[in-house]
Amino acid sequence: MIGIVLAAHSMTLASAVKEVADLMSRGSVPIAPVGGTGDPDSPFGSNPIAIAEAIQEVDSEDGVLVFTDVGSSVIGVVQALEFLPDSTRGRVRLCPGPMVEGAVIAAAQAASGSSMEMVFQDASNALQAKAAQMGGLE
Amino acid sequence: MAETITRNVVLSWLSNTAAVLQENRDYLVELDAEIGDADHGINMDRGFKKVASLLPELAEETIASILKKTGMALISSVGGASGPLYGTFFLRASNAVSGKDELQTPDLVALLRAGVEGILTLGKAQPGDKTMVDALQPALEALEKARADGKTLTSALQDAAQAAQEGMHATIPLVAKKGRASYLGERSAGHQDPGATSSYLILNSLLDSLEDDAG
Repeated sequence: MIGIVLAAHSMTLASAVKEVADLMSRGSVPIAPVGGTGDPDSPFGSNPIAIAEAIQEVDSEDGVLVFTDVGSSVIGVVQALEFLPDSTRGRVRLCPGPMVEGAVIAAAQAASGSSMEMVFQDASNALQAKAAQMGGLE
Repeated sequence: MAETITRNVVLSWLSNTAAVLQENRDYLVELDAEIGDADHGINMDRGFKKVASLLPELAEETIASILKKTGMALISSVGGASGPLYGTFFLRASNAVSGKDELQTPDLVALLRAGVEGILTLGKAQPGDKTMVDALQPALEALEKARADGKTLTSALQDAAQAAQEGMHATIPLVAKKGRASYLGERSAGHQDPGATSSYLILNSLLDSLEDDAG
């Protein structure tokens, strides 16, 4: 089963998204939240080394899908890849979809045993699904 | 005039940088508050405080090892995009001076070039995007020109620091294309880029350390 990493600027944010996603998978999909600097004076930020650890925590042969929130989370994940063993790095996908909607879709898909490619595509298109749900109301 | 960058100059550079970033913490926060998320000064101060705390135990290590550990400390402690970017700068710089006991002008060119290329690769910014690249790229070009002109190391580094300062000032009218500031679009013009500013401060600290070493 694929693993999911939620790389946010705050552990509170990442953990809350995990709670929502866990509802979809009934906790069956390994999801690692990661975020924050650990500095109480300036808590928001990302730590590539912590992101690399989170990826390894949920890594398996089926791969790891990583979601980011804003700004430097993306560059933090790209840097984190450098700290991973080659075998792990080769099966990590960075999802351009939105973190909340994407993680919910990914957790549901992964729980049903979907392939990485299918999970990646559906999570990446999560905003289209949301727009369709609004049906022109926006 | 000292014409080499010894290990002691490198150690002094990093501790000078930590002091300068602490002094400029609030200034960098003000710059970042205008076009970003107001954390650049806090992040850089935190990162280089971590580096400064490691320096006593690095006193006997090679220049490459000191630079590598500086990079890793920044990556793990800065928090914003500048952590991976400056972290990569120092990791690539470390590789460029592997095995060197002291650095001459060509070594400094190799160090800066490798560091700037690392930042360009990771950050995908181009000159003119209103980022640290706008201070670092002109500094690299000035250093390369000074080397070709046969200038001394100190004189070459003076040229590089001056080019970085000019590049930093030249970010003021630019519209940001990268980072949080790019969300502001045209409204990012009229403000000096905090990343270009910290890049200038870091390079200028190296010049100060080299000149101090000369006595």
